[in-house]
Amino acid sequence: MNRDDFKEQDDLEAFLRTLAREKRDLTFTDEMQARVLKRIEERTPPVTARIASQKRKLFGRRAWVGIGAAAVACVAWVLIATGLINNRIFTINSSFHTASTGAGIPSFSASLAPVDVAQVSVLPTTAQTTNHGVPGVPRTNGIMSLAPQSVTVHATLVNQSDRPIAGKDLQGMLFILKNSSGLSPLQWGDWEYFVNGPSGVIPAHGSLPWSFTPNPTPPFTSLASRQVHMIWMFRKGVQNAPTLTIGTLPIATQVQSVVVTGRVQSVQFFTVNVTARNESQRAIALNHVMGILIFGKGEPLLSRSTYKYFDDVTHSAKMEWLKPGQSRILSFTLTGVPGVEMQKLSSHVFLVARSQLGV
Amino acid sequence: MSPQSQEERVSLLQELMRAFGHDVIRLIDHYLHDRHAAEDLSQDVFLKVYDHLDDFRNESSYKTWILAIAANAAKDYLRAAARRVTPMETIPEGAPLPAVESAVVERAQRDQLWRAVDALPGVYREAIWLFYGHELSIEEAARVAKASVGAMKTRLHRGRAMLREGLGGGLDYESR
Repeated sequence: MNRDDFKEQDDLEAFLRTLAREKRDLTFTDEMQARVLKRIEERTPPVTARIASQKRKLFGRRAWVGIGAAAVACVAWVLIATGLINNRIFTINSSFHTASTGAGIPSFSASLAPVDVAQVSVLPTTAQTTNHGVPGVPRTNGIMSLAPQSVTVHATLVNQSDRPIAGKDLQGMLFILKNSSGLSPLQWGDWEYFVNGPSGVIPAHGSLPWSFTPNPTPPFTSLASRQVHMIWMFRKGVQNAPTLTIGTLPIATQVQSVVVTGRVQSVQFFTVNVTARNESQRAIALNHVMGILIFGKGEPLLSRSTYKYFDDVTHSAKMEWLKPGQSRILSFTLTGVPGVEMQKLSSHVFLVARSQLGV
Repeated sequence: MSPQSQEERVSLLQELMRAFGHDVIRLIDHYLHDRHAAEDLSQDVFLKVYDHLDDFRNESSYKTWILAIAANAAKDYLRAAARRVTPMETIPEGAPLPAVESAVVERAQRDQLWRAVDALPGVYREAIWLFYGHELSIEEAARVAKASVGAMKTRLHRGRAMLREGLGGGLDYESR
């Protein structure tokens, strides 16, 4: 069909044609082109670039949701389920994840999964979502509840690779963010969770619905605009996959003690005391630091059987600095499953810049 | 044929940016009315284009394919923005025109037309922009908007009718 066939011959038509001449001053400059090429160059293969890429994609979909409440330390844990890792899909290198438990600067590397996140929404939790009503949604009713689980994050996980990915091989990190630019520089307002993958297999270039009911969760009635950001990793290292390294802050840590402080109904509370020493030549703002704590029995850190936590390093509203060479005790108060002797498990503490997780 | 090596892919992307970069940023600006956001988002669009070069199937022109990606990205952005902050500023009906003097008559008329187009419901505004603003064919506009050709024709007809009605003869055609 010729364009002219569809034009109407009147003054409006003539005027509309002038629209094509408008905005001629708006150009895609050489500088913008160079920036695109630079971003392409930068993102292969290192870690932070990959995260940025994932985030960009998420921003593209603008997965803004309403979740509010001023959360301070927000701790989540993943329901433990035993089961063999299915090795048939990707080549797994079980020694890939690394960590150290002595005094030192522990780092933690994980293989990023080629999983994109689409159609993110946060909806009031219904009986259906907590009852396996959605295919691919793992059970949530075994998770202890510290507060009404009033919201559920729904998303579609898209496998961008040529191979199927078993949901049980995936470990996710879910961030419900206050700021559009990523994790807040300070701890207030963001929520972070470790999450399981879906219970099924995501076909090559296919997708699978997934959901997660945050626990603890902010009250649904006090929602503000929030952004959901996810990072998906393989539970075990995968050859040739881009990696995410966590724990790159120059702070040496050593776990001093793990103390169970109380039990209430189905919850036990415990505190992890960690010595932290600034090994760098510059002061570090502890308010900008996030702690990742993992407890296990020597298995790979992201195994389904390990206990994983996010926690803030300080809850102080004032800036707290760790000066060069200075040491101090950091205390993380966490919640766990009754009957599990957390103090007998091997503990790993990784300190990360909040900006690393959110960028 | 899809480019194979990294060099080929980058080279193709450079060509596409040179050829269609202006179209992309203008199209996005038509949706967003925010030049800074359009600059950022258009770069994201070309990253997406790069990531999906292998998906291009020669079923459409590169231009149509890329503009479809851009339109989609812009709509996503607007949907998010609507949830994130306050709705986009709407153009008040009957907004006063600039002083009508002979030297600014045409400019004022163009402004009036712009406002009228911007005040159209989304799908009609989109149809007008794609057909007139970007000089796409009906088929191309339909592909970019992910609509059928029939729907695009209808939208264009109705969009024009709304413009006529909305402008209500306010355009002083004779003075042009």
